[in-house]
This record gives sequence, C-alpha cells and structure tokens, in this order.
Amino acid sequence: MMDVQAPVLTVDHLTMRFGGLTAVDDVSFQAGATDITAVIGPNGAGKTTMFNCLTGFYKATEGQLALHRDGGTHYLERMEGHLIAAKAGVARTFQNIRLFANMSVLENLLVAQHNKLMKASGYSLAGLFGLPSYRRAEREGIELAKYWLDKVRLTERADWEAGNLPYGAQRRLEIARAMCTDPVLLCLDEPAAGLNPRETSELNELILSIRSDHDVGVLLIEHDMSVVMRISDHVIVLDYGRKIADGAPEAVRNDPAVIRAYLGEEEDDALPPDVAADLARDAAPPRDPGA
Amino acid sequence: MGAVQRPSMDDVLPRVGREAALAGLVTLALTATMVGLHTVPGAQSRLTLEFRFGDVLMAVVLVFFGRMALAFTREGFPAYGLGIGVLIVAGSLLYPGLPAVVEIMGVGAGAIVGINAVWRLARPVRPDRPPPKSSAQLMDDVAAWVQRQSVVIGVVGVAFAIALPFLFPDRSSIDLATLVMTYIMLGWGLNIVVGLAGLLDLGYVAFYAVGAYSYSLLAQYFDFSFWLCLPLAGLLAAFAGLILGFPVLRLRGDYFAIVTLGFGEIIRVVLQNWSSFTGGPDGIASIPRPSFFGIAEFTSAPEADGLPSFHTLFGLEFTPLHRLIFLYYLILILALVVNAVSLRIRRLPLGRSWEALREDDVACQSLGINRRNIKLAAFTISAMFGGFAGSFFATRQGFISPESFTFIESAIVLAIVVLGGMGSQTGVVLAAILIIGMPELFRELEEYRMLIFGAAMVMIMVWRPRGLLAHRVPTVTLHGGGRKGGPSPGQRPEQVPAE
Repeated sequence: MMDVQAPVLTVDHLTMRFGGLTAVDDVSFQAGATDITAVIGPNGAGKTTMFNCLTGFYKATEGQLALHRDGGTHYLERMEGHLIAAKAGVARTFQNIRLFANMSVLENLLVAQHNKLMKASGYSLAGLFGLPSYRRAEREGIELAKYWLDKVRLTERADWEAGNLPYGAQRRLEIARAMCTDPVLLCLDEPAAGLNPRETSELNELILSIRSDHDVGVLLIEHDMSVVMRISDHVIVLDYGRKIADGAPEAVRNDPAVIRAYLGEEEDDALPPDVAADLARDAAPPRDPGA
Repeated sequence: MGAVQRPSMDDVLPRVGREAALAGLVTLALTATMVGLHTVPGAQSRLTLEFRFGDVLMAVVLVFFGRMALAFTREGFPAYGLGIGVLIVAGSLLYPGLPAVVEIMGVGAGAIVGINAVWRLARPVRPDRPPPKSSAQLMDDVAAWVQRQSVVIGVVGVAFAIALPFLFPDRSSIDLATLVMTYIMLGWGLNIVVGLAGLLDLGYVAFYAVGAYSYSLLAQYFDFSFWLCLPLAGLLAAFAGLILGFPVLRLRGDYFAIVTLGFGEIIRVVLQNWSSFTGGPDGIASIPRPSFFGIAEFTSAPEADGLPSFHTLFGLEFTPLHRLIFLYYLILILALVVNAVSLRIRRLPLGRSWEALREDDVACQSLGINRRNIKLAAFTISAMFGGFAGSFFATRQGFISPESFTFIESAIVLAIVVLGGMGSQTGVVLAAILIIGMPELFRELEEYRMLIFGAAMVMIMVWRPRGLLAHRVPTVTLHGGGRKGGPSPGQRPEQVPAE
C-alpha cells in the first residue's frame, strides 16, 4: 500500500457482497487530501460498487470507511446517505450523467447549495416573507454558482435547460454541481467517458485546477489512460473486486499483475489437449466457469 | 397554382371514398351493439331489447361524410371539404325529428371539418414556404406565451373572478363558480406534491375529508366558530399528512401511488364506521355557516345570536345571495393564498429541491439533500391546503358524509393537475374550468357528456401528453428577461446516449 502523507480517506478491509457475489473483496487504501487518486480496472472489477459504498448508496458488508475532515473523523459506513455529502463533504458525479434535466443550469448549481440556503431561508419561513438575510444568502449562492459557471465555461448558457446542453458540457456541469456542495473529497465516476480528445484534455485541466485551487482530494474512476497517467498522483488497480496494485502511476504501469489483468495471460499451452480442442471449435458450448 | 402539380380528381376520388368507407365501417362495428341495442325493462320485470338502428345509421353517415370532408381537404380539395361540412351542419339542423344529442354532434362535427377546410383554403400548402407548424408545436408556443404573460393573465383572471358575482348575479352561476373555485384550490394544493415534487398522490381526498370532519366535529362538540376552526382544520390535516407521510414516503413511483390510494380509502372507511363519533354513513348535518368575520350573520332576521345581520349592518335589502357571494369570495381568497404560497415556495430552496427530487432523487441524495424531510414538507403543506378546502366544503354544504370523499374525488383533482400540465398554476385553472365547469354547463346532454369527457381526455393524452400548459420557467435567471435560452424542448438537439 502506498504511503499517503495526509489522507482524507482511509478505506480499511472494505467488502461488499450481493448474495453469493463478492463485488468488492477486502480492499484497503488511502487517498491523500490534495491528491488525485485514480481507481482503474477492467469492466466489472468493482470500481463503481466501491464508489457507491463510499457515497452511501450501498451499505458496505464489512470494513471501515474513515473520512478525515477538519481534524475530525466521519465513519461513512455508518452515516445516512445524504449526510455523507452534507456533513462529511463527499461529493460525487455519476457514470451516466444525472443532472436535473428540465431545470436550468443555474438552478442545478443552486440545488447543490440546498443545505446552506435552506438554513438561510429559515427553513422557508424567512424566505416566504422575503427577509433581507435570505436575499443576501441567495445572492451569495448565485455568486458561487457564477464562479463555477465561469470555471466550466457555461456562463453564456446559464439559463439553458441542463438537458439541452451538449454531452461534454453536461459532464462539466455535473462536476461544477458537485463542487458547489463544498466538498473535501470529490468522487468522479468516469468523467472522460464519451468525450473527444480535446474535451478530455480540457477536463484534465479542470480537475487539476480544482485540486490546486480548492484544497480538495479527487478520487477518480477512469478507463481513459491518457487521463489517468497524466493527472493522477496515485493509482489503485482493482480486478475481480480485489486490489492488485497500488502506487505511483509509473510503478503501476509496469506492474506485471496489472498487465496480466488488462491483457490476459498467455496460457494456451497450459490447457489440456481436449480443452484446447473444445475451444477451437466455434460452436462449442461454454464450459462451466471453473474450467 | 404555380409550380404545384395539383392531383387530379380521378386519382383522389377512389382514395377518399375508400378511406371514408373504412371509417364508416369502423363506426358501424363500434356502434352496432353499443348504440344499436338498448335494454329496457319489459313485462314481468324482464329486460327486453330495443333496437335503435336509426341511431347507428346516423352515426355511420355522420362519420362517413365527416371523414370524406377531412380527406378531401388533406388531398388538396378544401372547397369540397368545406361544402360537405356545410351540408352536414345544414342537414343536422334541418332534418326533422333528430334527437338533440345527434343534432349537437352533427353541427359540431360539421363545424370542425368546415373550419379545417377554411384553414387550408386560407393557407394553401406551397413547397416554397416552410411547412406550417404542427399543432403540438403551436400548443408549445401557446404554453410558453401563457407562462411569459402569467402576470397579465393572473391580474385579468383575478379581476374577472372578483367581478363574477356581479356579472352573473344568479344562484346557479355563483354555485358553479364556487364549485370550480374549490377544485382550483384543491388542484393548486395537490400540484405541490404531484407537479413540483413529482409524487403521484392518489389519496388527496383523505386530507380534504380530515379538514371537513375537523371543522364539523369541532363545531358540533365544542361549538367553535368557523374562523377558529379554519386554521385548526388546516393544522389537523397537515398533521394527518405528516403521520401518513412517514411510512408512505419510503416508497417510490407506483408503490407510492398505490399506498396513498389505500390511505385515502382507510380514512373514508374509518369515518364511515366510527358511527359514535362521526355519525357514520349518516354523516353530520346542520353544520354551522360562517359569520361575516364574526361581525355579522347572514340571516333574514335583523339580529341573531347577538350579532346584527349582514343586510342591516350594511343597509342592504335582504337576499339569500349575500351568503353565497360571501362564500364565493371566501374560497377565492383561500385559493389565492394557496397560489401565492406555492408560487413563492417554488422560488425558495425548498421548492427547488422539490423539483430536483422530481427530476432525479438519486442525484438529490448525492448533493446532501435529506429526501425524506423535503418530501414530508411537500406532503404536509399540500395536506394543509386540502384541509382548508375541506373545512370550506363542510361549511358551504352544511352537511357532509363519507360519500363525499370517495376515490373519484382524488381522481378528479389529479386529472385537473395532469390535464393542466404538471406544475402549471394557470393550467390548473383552465383544467378545473374544463373538467368541472363543462359537464355542469352541458347537463342537457345527460349521460353523453361523460362520453364526450372521456373522448376529450383521450384526445389530450394523444395531443398533449404532458398537459395543456406544460411549460417550465426557471425560478431564477442569470441573464434575466425570463427568456429561456437554448433550444426549446420540441427541438432538442440529438441526445448522446449515456454509455
């Protein structure tokens, strides 16, 4: 396990089982407070399941998820789903974008500041009568939204319906929305999926600037190696739910276990002759998984 | 006709004839048994069949010619279409001995095909012009326009509502207006849960019932006045919403709808069977009428219960209309309060989170929004408004029984919200007038009005599946003007599939 100086997240022996299937199997790692930590692995390796455990959508079967914030520690596996974002400060984006499609871009960013604004509106009472304290809070909320709109270059389209934005802009807006919750750990689930090379390099810039300007740790699931290798400080590789490598990008890239997981082993010679013959036949029925 | 090659009559005639004949055949199949056979009680209380093949024939003829007119118009002969339309109207008016229903349907159908033909005559299709907007797009534009002009429409609407008792100072008009206004208020109340928060509540009538019974029982047992009971009824209904909300709000979608439906029925069944307390199926009679804000009573005697009567206080001639007009204004004010509060909340963080919840509740949780609390807030506030409406209903009727709070009431209120366009306040008004007002106005059509009502609902489902005036305006804009940027929903750019 790579040694992390000031961890924002410590995952200890995380296991997630669905019936007989172990999707995440005894995974432990740390993510640095201002590091970009990438989680990679082949399809079905358990990356998104791990994200869902972290952000409260699944209850972990075993293990401890400790989030360190302002000297205190929150144990995410025991918290209610919405408190993980509200109290612990873990924000996330989704693999298949989940914006509020019929609301405007600006409204998406204001909903993200719900808890802050809700308090300012006196749980709607002060807001109902339009007290100045609430109006000030709302103006500040809009200012914050403007800052992030500028950062993701959507100021021009602030009043568009979010669902009408082009795909790349929707990805950026989702990141801006997550940042509006003022998190200490930002979890991005395949942010570069479906982006073209130019958009991907812009995304790299955005993630790097978020990390450097906002003192936030980034946890990143990604398949696109041009993103992973260029921006991450720390890479964790999962395969079949287990952690198979953990370290700096260069070290991970040359790790034989990682290469084996991605490219497969050359083991044709090791097969018994009758199995090899079966495989050679096109219409051969699949053998049981153990074979 | 310039560059357009006009199709020849020889080509068109067989096509139009086939189409009209097919439509007539379908009508024959549909009406042969449903309209053609009529069971009547005969001798020895046995049912006998009566044949009404004349009616079937009329329906087939009407559909045949109507379809023919539409087809001619479409194929580029609008003059023929107009001619047939005029013939249908004339025929229905002049042919002796037609039942009123057939006459009205004939005139209506003739008028529709005639107008369609005139429309085409006025704007012939030409290849050098952009194709005319489809009716769906046209309606989208209308909805957007209504939302932009909502302030003007609101002011005009409220002014009309205030002037209404003086424009139509007769009992039936005021009664109808009060009824429509009650449903507008219920629609606005339910709109919070269904339109904003996106929770399909099929048991709204439960809170209406709680409000009505709260007032009636408080008045019966403790002799409380209406003005004290109104807020209490609202509170009790809100409390009922809170209690019912806790178990129900864990559920989503269809399951939520079914459970609310169940709770709505439970409330009614309790009211029906708890005879010692609620009077059971006999209901509660002689519920006290509201006083004029505790200053005056609406009685013909100059004084009652130590209060002067309304007409002596203001030096007017006594008429029973005073109370009706007062009740009308009361429900108008209540409804406007509900409207003002919901419009205001929509622009607050709470309202925005409701809409976000409707769009995507998983994303809401990931942003730290406590879904249970905001759902409960929506449920409770909406229940409170239902309670206000219920206590008004009780004081207006003077008599309530569990019969008034059946599932059909929930269904009607829900139909108003859905028909108007989810979340649209103006849409609720329009839909309430259509759903409540129209059947009352067309009472002469007897049972056929429900047929027409059903047909209208089906047509709207096909034509405007998201409701008549469905058009969302952002609660806050950066570039101002209330103008919504970007392509309109009708012309969404190609959506890139996610994964």
